[in-house]
Amino acid sequence: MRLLVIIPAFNEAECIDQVINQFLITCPDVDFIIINDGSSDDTANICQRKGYPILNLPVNLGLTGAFITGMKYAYLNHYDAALQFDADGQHPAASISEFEKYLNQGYDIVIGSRFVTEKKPRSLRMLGSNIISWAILITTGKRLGDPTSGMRMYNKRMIREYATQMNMDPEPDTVSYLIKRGALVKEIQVSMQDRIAGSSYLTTVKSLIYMTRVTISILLVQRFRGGNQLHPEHISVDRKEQTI
Amino acid sequence: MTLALRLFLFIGAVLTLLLFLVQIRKKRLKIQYAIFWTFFSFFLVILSIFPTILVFFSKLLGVQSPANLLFVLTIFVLVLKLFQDTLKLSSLEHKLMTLAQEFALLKYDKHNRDE
Repeated sequence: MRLLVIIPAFNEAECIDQVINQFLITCPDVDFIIINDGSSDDTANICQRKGYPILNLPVNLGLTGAFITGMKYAYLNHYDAALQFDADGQHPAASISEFEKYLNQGYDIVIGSRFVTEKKPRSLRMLGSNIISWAILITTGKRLGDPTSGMRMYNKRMIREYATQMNMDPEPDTVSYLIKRGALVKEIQVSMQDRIAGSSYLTTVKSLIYMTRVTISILLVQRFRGGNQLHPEHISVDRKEQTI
Repeated sequence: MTLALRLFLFIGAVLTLLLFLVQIRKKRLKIQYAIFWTFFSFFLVILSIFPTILVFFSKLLGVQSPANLLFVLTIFVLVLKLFQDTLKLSSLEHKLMTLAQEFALLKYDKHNRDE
């Protein structure tokens, strides 16, 4: 399976080198591409000096625009799988082989979850996460412990959807839409690290707005989207496990 | 509020909802924008079903007619939305200009290299 790791980066000069170094040590044989989302700092220079593969967006498109750029690259270069990977060192590269294992079993999306075997802590942000989980559960019947996790691996037909369709975001509401259309989703336990430096796309102030937008989108908007039903391509996945 | 106004509001709100649902299906509307219009038309539907909400607030604020309060609120929300759209438009114009310039520079580079 040819895997592309997509690393969106916006002003990550402080940690990008360390993160890519760590990534190269852990998975030296995996293709990756950095999508520089119009950073105003040294992100592009550092990557070019080190010879890392990088696509430079001339303007800031936001996480969705940057990620879709990577998906288009994956689509045009006929990759079989694509993984969204944070440039700030939160995602563990060591788990990548396990993601691939489940994708090979026939799952369409594998999500790296913090809360499959671990318990969810109680905090305001986790309350938001719970509300999104609940919205996905009542609209799709699928229980996701960590819907906002950004570490997701997609198979070939998901890459095609992301590269060619409108309104495809690397966000929980799009995942719920894809589940409704028949995509098979698997959550696996990963341990996320604290970010090395810089600030997240989601500041605490914005997370409330984010939570509201995603929940309304899942409950009211996503169900009215069109799109043909996806059928499982491999039968090796146990459908029963899917609904648990 | 008269029954005619309630009916008018209700039909208007339902039509707004239908309009954006059709546009999402046709893949011409981005969801982030659809959400505002969902809210807006839901709000109108609720007001047309329970106009006492409007009556209560118009008495509280001393507005003579509930319909006037509805107009003021609607205009206010739409002005805010228009302003937000203007902000977005400015940012889009800037991005479009940057993209066109980058594209021209790239073409110039490529042309010079080819010769």
